[in-house]
Amino acid sequence: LSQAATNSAIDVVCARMGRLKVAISLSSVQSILTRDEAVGLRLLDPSEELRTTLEPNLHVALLTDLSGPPTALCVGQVYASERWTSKRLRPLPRWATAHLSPLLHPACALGEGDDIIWLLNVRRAPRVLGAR
Amino acid sequence: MAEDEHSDGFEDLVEQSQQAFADFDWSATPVEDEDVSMSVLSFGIAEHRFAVAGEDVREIIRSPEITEIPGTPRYILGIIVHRRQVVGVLDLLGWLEMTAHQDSSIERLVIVEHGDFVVGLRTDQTTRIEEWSREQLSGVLPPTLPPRVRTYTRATREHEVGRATILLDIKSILDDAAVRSSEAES
Repeated sequence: LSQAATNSAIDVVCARMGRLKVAISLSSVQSILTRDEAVGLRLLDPSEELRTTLEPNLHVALLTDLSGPPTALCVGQVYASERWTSKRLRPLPRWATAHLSPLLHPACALGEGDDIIWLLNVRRAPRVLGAR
Repeated sequence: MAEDEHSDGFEDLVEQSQQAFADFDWSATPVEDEDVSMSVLSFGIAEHRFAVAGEDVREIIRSPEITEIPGTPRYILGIIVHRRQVVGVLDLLGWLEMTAHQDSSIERLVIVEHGDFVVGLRTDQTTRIEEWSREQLSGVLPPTLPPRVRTYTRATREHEVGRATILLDIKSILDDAAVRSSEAES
């Protein structure tokens, strides 16, 4: 089991959300749409929770396995689609994650130039952002 | 000539040391320790001076770009990537609830570790290694030291009249930061 976990890989899309870079696991996403295609969907905006800005009319991620109306998460500008293994990730220092947003996993990935890519916990988005 | 006549002189010394060992009072304070010095790294942040024990210092690097962690309090400045590892950076003045009246020319990052915890402290460029005699250390903390600072102070040493360098208790700082994390997660 541990061997399988070590070798498992997930497909992600990377997006620019204001000054942040985020990665979203495609296992939690039905499809990536442009904002214009998201007519009739309930939209969740994580920018306030993540203390960033979100340009309008970019991409949204249509979430899967949700009850209720079709829901999409605004993710900013998608710029890459990749397959990651655990080797790509770096754990965040445990002492520094005390108040980490519940929308983020306590790890990150390193992009080109060692910039930080945050791991968006899409499954928590409806609960964290739904009441807003 | 008998073999023991070719003594090189150690015998007497050995005998003397054995005698001294037999007479040694283990309950007394070792005389040698009074002169033992400790190696510390001292650094400045604005008008404040701090020191950490040399054994707690992993390395000193030029302050790299720090990435904020969304949602964290201000005393956590963010994270850096160093040697492909992620290191959290603590705002020491913020953690100690100290204020700065002078500008700080932050240029260095002192990476300290204790046990499993590693943390970066941003400091100004006046960072140096010093040898502190234990006689120069004061375990009696100045009454002007704020309570929160006292919590994380091992000792102080006056570096100029009326101004003390604070020797930080890195273990307590890192333990408490971790405890705060645990409390927030539960």
